[in-house]
Amino acid sequence: MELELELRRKIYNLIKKHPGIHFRELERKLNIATGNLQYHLQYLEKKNLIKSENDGGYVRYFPKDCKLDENGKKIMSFLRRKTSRHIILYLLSKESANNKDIAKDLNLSPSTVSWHLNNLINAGIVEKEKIGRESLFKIKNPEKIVDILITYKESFLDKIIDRFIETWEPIVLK
Amino acid sequence: MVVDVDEIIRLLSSILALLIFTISIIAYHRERRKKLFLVSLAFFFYALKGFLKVSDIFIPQKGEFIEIFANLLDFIILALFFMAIVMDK
Repeated sequence: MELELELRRKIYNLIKKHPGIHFRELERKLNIATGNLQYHLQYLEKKNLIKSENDGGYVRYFPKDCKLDENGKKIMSFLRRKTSRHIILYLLSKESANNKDIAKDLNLSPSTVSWHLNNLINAGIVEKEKIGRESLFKIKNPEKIVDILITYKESFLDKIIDRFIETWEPIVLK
Repeated sequence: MVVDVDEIIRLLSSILALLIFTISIIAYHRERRKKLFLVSLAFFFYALKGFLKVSDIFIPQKGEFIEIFANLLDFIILALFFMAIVMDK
């Protein structure tokens, strides 16, 4: 009943497919007016179909039946931020690294890396280990992150289907 | 049995149409829009037509029937695209 409206169903399906998606991303993907999107999101939340969570910088949306626990949702929020995601993936591949190496290999400034690392440490995703004068950073629970990455990785088929819909949309679907 | 270039191209087109049909039917299941279903059907009939035409290679004695049926399928395909374009929702 709540999802009878095509646009509302579309918003819900997008949140289901991309748990942790934030408002601007939704707006960009759906190409609809801010007020309209706000209205539908409020409706879906009121009807208990989705849940919004503020991760400090963004309001993120999750489906109510989302299988992620609180920690998983937090990890997902960071994975949805480009720079944080790159740092997480880098640390996953290296096991541990210092700020200088991360900044050099990811082509970022040390202060940017430091800011993201602090956030990741505060969220309990990354841990800092001091060896002598050097600080090394490593992922606290790599298995969980890998698990989330595999579960929510957009498949090749998903992309093709999205493109198919985008192709037909201006011709017949509007 | 002689397979010419024309028939190979026809077979490849049919396989491609079948692939597009699969993608479009998945898109329909996700979006639940009737228009996508019509487009899916059109691709399915296109693939069917192609396979019917290449079946000449294996069963050459079918004769006229294939041509008439292929023409009918052409009409159905175009009608489906037309309906998808003019339909309200």
